[in-house]
Amino acid sequence: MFPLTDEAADAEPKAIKARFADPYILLFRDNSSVMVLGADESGDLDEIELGETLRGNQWLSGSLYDDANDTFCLEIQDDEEEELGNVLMFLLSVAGGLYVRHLYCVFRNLILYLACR
Amino acid sequence: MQSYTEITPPTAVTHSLSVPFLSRSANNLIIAKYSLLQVFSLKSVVANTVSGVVNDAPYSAGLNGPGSAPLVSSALPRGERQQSTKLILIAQYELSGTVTALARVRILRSRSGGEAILIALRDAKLSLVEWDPERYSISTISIHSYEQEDIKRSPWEPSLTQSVNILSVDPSSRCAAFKFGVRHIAILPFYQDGDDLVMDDYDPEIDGDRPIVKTSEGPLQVDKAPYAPSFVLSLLALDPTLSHPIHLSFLYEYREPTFGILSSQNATSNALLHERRDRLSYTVFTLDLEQRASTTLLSVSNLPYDLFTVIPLQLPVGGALLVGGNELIHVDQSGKTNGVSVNQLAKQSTSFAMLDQSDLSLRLEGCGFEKLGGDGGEMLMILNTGALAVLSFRTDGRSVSGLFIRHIQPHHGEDVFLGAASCTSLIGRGRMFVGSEDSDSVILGWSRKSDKIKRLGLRESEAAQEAIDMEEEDFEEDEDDLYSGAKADKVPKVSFPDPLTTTESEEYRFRIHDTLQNLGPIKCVSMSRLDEKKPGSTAFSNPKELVTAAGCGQTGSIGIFQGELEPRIARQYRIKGANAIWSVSARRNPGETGKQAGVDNIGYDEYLIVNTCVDTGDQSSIHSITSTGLNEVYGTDFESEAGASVEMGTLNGGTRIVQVLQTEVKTFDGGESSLLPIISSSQPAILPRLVLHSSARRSVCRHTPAHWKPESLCGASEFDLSVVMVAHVLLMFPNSSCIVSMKSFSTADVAWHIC
Repeated sequence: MFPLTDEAADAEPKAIKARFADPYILLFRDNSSVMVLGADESGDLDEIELGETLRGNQWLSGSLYDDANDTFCLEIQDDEEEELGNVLMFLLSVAGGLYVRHLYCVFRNLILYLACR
Repeated sequence: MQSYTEITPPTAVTHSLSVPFLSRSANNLIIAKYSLLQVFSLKSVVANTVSGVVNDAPYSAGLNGPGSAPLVSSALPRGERQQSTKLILIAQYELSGTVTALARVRILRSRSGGEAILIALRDAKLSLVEWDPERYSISTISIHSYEQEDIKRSPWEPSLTQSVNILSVDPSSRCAAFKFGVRHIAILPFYQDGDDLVMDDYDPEIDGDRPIVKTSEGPLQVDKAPYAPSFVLSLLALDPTLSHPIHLSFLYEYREPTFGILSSQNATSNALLHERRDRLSYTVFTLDLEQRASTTLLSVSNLPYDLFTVIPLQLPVGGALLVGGNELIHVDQSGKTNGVSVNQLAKQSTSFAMLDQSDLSLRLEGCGFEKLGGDGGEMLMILNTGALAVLSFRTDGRSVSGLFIRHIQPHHGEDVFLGAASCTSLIGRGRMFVGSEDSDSVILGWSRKSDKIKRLGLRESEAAQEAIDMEEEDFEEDEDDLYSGAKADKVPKVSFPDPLTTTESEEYRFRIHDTLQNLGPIKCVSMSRLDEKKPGSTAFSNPKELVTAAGCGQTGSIGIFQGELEPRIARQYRIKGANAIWSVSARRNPGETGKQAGVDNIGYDEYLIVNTCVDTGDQSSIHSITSTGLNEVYGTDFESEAGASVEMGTLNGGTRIVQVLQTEVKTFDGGESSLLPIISSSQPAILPRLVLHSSARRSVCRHTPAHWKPESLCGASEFDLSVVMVAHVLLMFPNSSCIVSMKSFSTADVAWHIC
């Protein structure tokens, strides 16, 4: 059970879309914000802290991708990778930019594309 | 104007080529289907077959590569491990032009490290193409067009479109020869590494400034193409007697580019056989690219009129094989000829001295030839009826003294049905690709029991099967490397078996590894009638079908084309107002299969979650999927009135089922037959307690699960009345079916239900 209260505001942003990639859930809310939940071994969900840019921005759409075959050839230390997996989060902002983050460490900004409209 | 629609791209294979195209070590097959060019790579898959029954190994490749899990369950008795080669399409391209020939060329500094291909198109065009790994596509290096020669031709000669093109590339890739028009030939030289040695004899005083040859490694310099300018000459300039060329091909094992050409002085004619008999001649020329001159090495004349192709042979046999409709003639490097006639007509049409095997009654028109790779340089003949025969060479020392042909008998029901071969390519040890315009194109594999026994004796292998598989994988064996022109000095030790005594263990057994479907040639077409859909039929809708009769002989078939996919309804259920569905499976431990959990459906999803829109609002209901149907599941924590699900999914390897609602995310434990919520003590905010706020009373109620001591809170004055609380808690006590749920609203009333 995980309530989606937004403590700062009174309104409850509703979840309109969700994407799954073991062990993360990417939620899109109707105020164009995103939330990432992660599940630990016992299945408890916990919100994962996103950086300032991700929190404040408005997002149109996105997806989670479990890079099982290491298509993106990220250089991750082996010991850390086994612990936290290789899940990438792709987000499309309202301005038309594509953000790619590695959920292993959310502050690591992999690639930043700003597409012109 | 678009007055027709293409239903499918061309499916008949006209040319094929085995070449390392994608990289230096790749093994690729390039296939041309008239104007469609396809690039395939080859993959080995291993399948278990029950011994005694040879199954067509189905495709079992996963991302793990060869050696992935056997298809047959390990519960069956372990049979023979069969290795099959499968084709994987990498890319396909529509060319603007009809392909008339394909040849491989080794060029300096190709982008991918592999070789390039020369594509000959009708209307006298050559295109040199390589693979560009950065764009993951083919890229044209150059286009050579010889259409301007058309202007100079006589008005009564056939145009370029009507003439036959013949393309041949020197085995060491020093040059390519392209015969176009009636008797023109274009020579396209390629730079190779050895050219620099020739340049050392260059004397600047006599020959002018020495051109600078860039030898730097790296991508191809823009101003240095891998070829030198081509030159066109008439065949009459090579030799005045080459007025009617029939076929030409570059030969192996020569230091300079050398080709043999089959030609005649007058046009051949069946009607004039009593006068013009045996007028064909075979001449071997050596080209000197620097001087643009040629030298005649040997010439054989008085050859039968119906010879139509020259097949160059590598060591151990050497020389060239001339193929005619009624006979086969082998010419070796010294000009000695050996022939064999294969039907009665040979005696009547030619007086060339040949061995007589006319009892075979073969017709060699449209026959495909390919090396089998045995010790004796045996070759497989695929006749135009699809029958198979083997050509062996009887030798006397190192020279060929005779040819012998024998039929391949079907072996214990292991029939392979082939059509006439339009092209053949050797793709590995014991594998060849046979392309056909009349039937499906196949990858044909062959083996001999005697080969396996020989290999077993050589090495004491723990598992004989693995040794054979390793041997088959070893493409580095030089004796079967079709293109090992550089290994001329290493003549492999061969022992030519006596062709007349072929025991059963030495006989070849053929097996089809993979097929490329061919939808033609279509002989007859019909359309189905559109009737009313019969009540009670299981068809999804009324299918519109096009039925064709296609193929020839043993490979004839009936094809049914349908305009849409026509699923057959297996079961049908009504769920009123449904607008979204998800299916999930429940597992107790991550990665377990359904078998261990004791569930009937192994690995299949068990639950169906449906969003329905009813009068009271959106709901989600849960159904279990059983072999008898869908049954709504009650009595679980899955609350229907919680609202429509936004998304459903699984986490933690499938052990947790997650339901995303608009206002919350719920996780369920799916391992047991009932769904339990996750109760975690590490998250105090979501403890299974109900915190009720009501404007009327300042009380807090708390319900805890059975194993906790019930507590009562009172006087929770710290709670603010106006705080809105959104927790929905669903609890299920193990021994009772009490479900407590609570809805909270912004103000006054608080309602909670116990079911």
